[in-house]
Amino acid sequence: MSVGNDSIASLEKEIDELRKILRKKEKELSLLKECHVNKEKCLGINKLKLDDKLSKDDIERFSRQIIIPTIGVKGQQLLKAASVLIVGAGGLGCPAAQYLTGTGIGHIGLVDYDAVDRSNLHRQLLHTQENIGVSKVASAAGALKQLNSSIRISEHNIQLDSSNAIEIVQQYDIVIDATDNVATRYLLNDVCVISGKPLVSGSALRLEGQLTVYNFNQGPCYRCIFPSPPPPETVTNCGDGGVLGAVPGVIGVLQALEVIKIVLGWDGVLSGKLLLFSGEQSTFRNIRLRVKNPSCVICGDHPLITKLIDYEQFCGAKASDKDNAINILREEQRVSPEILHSSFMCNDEGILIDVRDTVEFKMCSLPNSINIPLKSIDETSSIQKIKEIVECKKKTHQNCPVYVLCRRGNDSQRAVLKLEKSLQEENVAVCDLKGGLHAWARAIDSSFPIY
Amino acid sequence: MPDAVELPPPQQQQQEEGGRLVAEAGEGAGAGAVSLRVLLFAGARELAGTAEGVLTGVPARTDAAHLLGRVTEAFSLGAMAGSFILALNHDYVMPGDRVRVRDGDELAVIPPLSGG
Repeated sequence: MSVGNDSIASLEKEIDELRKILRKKEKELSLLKECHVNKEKCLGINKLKLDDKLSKDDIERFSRQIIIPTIGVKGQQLLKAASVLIVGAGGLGCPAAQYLTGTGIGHIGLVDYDAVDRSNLHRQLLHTQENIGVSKVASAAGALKQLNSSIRISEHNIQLDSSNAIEIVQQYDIVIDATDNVATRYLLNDVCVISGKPLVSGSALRLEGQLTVYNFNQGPCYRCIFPSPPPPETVTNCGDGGVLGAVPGVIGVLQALEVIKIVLGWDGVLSGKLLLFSGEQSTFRNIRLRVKNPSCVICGDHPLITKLIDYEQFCGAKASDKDNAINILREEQRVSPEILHSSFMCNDEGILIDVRDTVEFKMCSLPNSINIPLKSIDETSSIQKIKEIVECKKKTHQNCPVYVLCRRGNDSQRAVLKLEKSLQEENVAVCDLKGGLHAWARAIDSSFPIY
Repeated sequence: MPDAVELPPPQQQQQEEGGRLVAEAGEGAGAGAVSLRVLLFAGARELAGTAEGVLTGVPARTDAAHLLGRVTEAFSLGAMAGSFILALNHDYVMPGDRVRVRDGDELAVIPPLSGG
């Protein structure tokens, strides 16, 4: 048995190392190809001509769409000559990129600063579990090249911001907004207005999706419809709200379809219309939007914004879907995983309240912790329950601290502030677990799931 | 072409606990007042705690600001005031516009989604 385990482990290790070598070689190849393309571009010999004949591979590969009368050879040549920038190689970007590669778009650019995480794999289907930790653009580019190696794929492994966005966007014909945060959405809108590019915008959360095309054929831009960003506290991201993979899958595929229609010059592009998708009801609602707003601050008749601004400041939120760690408690109100472990776990001191939502608590929790979600921590019944447990514990223990935890250590601090007031008479210390269950998993128990 | 994918509105949501939220008429609702079927999307649905409701006592001749105010109050959307749009029977309600509504018209409350 142990011999079997050993050979499994050694084979896994060997495969892992070979994968690393493969990735390195692929990267070398892609850099070489990129240099080659740039050199040819400088010499002016790589201009795709629309009267170029389709290759044998093209004809065999794309015949099923070429024979659609409204596409034909001309349409396929248009697709081959087109370039599309996909911002975000996640839940929307993966399906969009996959279908655009499939359909034969000649040049695809991918932008993402993030690395593949295990929690991405349920919806970002270009990434594989072997690529956890690898940059998303490298992982996606590798998968796309396996689909069609003749497509040019440019990897932009960066965080798009006001300093680099225009230079990148200018290299492409059409932009896909497949991002996960408000600040980057406003940035992309403004870049596309300034650079005159259509923006195919998609978004998804839980079981809902939205899709529209901004800045196209006199249609509105994002700011014409939503001139001011939502208050940050009303914005839910996929990490906190959850998302069912098939929903961004639907929207991402529809984004690819909009790009194809724009490239082919078809009517019926979703400009001036907003598509609302309900995965729950399987309904598509098409809302007729306004035309371009003549007094829009960026695309109107007299624009007030003529260059890019600071979008994180404008939105009051970071340009990512990661929660920022807050720090609203005094240092003595915060305990490390080690202290929680020795006090609560080993010495049976105090009580441990987990303020995550019940569904998360059911997914995984620490032994003997009590679940009282943050939203109900103020309720009389919750306070009563805590008081009873504290009183009971005080009978056998002199010291009865109330420990509070959550996933990452933000909600636990908010809960401590509330509990401090409600438990004033109890004369107990109320502390939060600094860094939440993530910190716990890192410091004490690596087998505890991080999500 | 996109119009072709429009599907009829969903059946009344039977899984809704305790039925739909019905917001009663405020002051000034007189003769010619109508009821609107309100659909709440994304963050508006979370804030309101329901996907669908009814707004009663809406004057048949009204304007965008009145609709916005009534919906915000009735569905507790104050936290996201100014960052959602309204659509009446699938048509964007332009801020500042006068609006005519009929009994049973569908008013959609649509905040932007930003996840992906």
